[in-house]
Amino acid sequence: MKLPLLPTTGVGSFPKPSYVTGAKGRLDESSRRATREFIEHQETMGIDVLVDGEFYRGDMATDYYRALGFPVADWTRSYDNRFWRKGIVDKPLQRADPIQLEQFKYAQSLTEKPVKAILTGPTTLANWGFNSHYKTREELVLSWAEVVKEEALALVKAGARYIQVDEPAVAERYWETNLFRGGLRRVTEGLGVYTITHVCYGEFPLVYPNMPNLPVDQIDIELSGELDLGLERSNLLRMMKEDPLTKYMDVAAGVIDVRPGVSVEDVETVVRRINTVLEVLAPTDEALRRIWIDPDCGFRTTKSPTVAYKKIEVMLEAVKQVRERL
Amino acid sequence: MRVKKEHYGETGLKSTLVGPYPRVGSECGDKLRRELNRLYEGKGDPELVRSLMKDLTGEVVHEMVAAGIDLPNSGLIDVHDELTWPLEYADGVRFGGMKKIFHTNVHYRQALVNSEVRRKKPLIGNLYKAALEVHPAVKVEFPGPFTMAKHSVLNKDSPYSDLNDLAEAYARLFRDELSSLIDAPLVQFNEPSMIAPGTRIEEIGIVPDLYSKMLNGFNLSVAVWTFYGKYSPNALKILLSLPIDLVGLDLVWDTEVDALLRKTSSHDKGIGFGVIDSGDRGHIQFEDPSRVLERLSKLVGYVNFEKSFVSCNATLEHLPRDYARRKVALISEIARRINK
Repeated sequence: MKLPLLPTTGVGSFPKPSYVTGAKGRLDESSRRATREFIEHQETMGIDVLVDGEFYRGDMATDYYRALGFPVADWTRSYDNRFWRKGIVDKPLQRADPIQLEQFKYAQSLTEKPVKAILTGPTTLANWGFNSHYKTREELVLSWAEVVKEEALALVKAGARYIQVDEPAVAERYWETNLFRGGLRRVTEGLGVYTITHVCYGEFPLVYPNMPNLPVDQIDIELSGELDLGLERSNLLRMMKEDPLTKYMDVAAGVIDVRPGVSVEDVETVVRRINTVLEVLAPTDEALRRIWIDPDCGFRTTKSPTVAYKKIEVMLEAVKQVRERL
Repeated sequence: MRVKKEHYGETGLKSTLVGPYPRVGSECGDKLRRELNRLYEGKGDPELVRSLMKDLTGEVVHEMVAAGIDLPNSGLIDVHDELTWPLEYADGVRFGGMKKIFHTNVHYRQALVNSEVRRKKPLIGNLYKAALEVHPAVKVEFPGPFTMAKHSVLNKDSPYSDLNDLAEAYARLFRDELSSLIDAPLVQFNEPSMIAPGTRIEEIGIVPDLYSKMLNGFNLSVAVWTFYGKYSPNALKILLSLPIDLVGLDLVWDTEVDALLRKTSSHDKGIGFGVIDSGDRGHIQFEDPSRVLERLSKLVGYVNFEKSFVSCNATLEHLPRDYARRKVALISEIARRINK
């Protein structure tokens, strides 16, 4: 599929409409309806590579623990009033049944455009739960990698052209970068499709020196906060300008803040953010062709579908204006 | 300065907790979570949220005290995140992007400093008073000025030359608060950045002077609690040189700090033994009290247990409330047994 300059995409989730209830990893009638409506909206708005909105998801990590039959603890807090439930690995990790195959097949059946198949990565799964079974972190992360790999292979077999492995935990244990990369490599190697890893809200300067070696075709990185800081104050942007990741892989730059309570950006702000992305990551025409534009993260935390749609519209308008200038 | 033991009972090793306590896991906590969600969706009632926060504060302090904790904190039920929350009460700062708190999936808001930092209203409010209605001795807890500075970014227009300069401004912010806290049994500053991976020893050289200036003239009992890292001999030396009463150590991350403590017995500080795993690294096991007692007993003669506390290494928010309750009971049991 031929993509335009600065292709646009989503990261994964979208606020659930009020009629979606009780989703804990399974696709039911309400989440089918929400998926259908969201795919239609994205097509109408003109997004290039679509996402399914993850309306069936309870939580990106907890659902995997549930699917594999592990116990799930009560809520723990992530910040402010955001919580998730940590699963507990208390026996060997083994994938018995598909985890989100049906969900991907359904979303892709609704459109001719590619829909990303989005998996949670092994390091994130390991970090966001408890482990009382494996003796070492290496055993834990690589066992999760085997589970995710099996799922990825099933998705490719079902027609997925884009596999995204979400690893927001990438910078949590930055001293374990080799293990992170090993887990990711196990998932992506030999898939034969375009692979992406999404990372967000981390101390990226700590892991930046290792990012060029990531075994993926694209890194999708939350950037709007750094872009607002600008080159002068952002260590990450300075590191990026010095050694642009576009030398090594495609880069999807998050330019829309998805956090709850953050108002809809004006187009001018987002154009400015994109221009900074280009200043930092596109020193050459070849590098420019490696840049994608998307929001910082999934829109789930935004809470309001109306606000989320407005934010997407602003992003698309800003991309349109920048494309015209280029 | 002296540790105000008269506020919290008899002599011997005491028990305490660190950081925000898990909110949900009770009827009141679950209701607060739902009401806050409603508030963010524009449908909630701010007065109801405030009332639920007060009720939940009472509930968690009661839970700590009933489990036998000698010196509870207030549970910090209303804080957005444990690293930069005092800056909500200051001019000169706005909050920027979200970042992870060290190695965890818990986030803080990066503080962007635009102009002179000034306290615009008291940091400690009604929830601390609500905690005191349940128990007469509740410690006050803040993120420390050094750690807050390490999690801030200076705008080009800010009047501060570097993060050391900013840390001093944050220390002045706390000075404005401290005069109202003279009756508190203990004022604790959490300074994980002093030992967290990535902090260089040269950076923490400013901390003794920072605390000297901040605490000068106040007759307060003060603790500095550290966690999420290991201690070099120099780092421990700096901590033990601070003009404070109690140094909290993370004995979960650093299983060898005991040996260092045995070599540095000339100090007069109480030690906060953060020996119970708060679950921040994904471990869910419950400690065997006998093993913990055995470990701590090897420090008898090197540490003044009369001035010391046993605790979790960091916030119990990494655990669901039901697990946290069991950890609290464990901490209390260890203090009780070691005093026997």
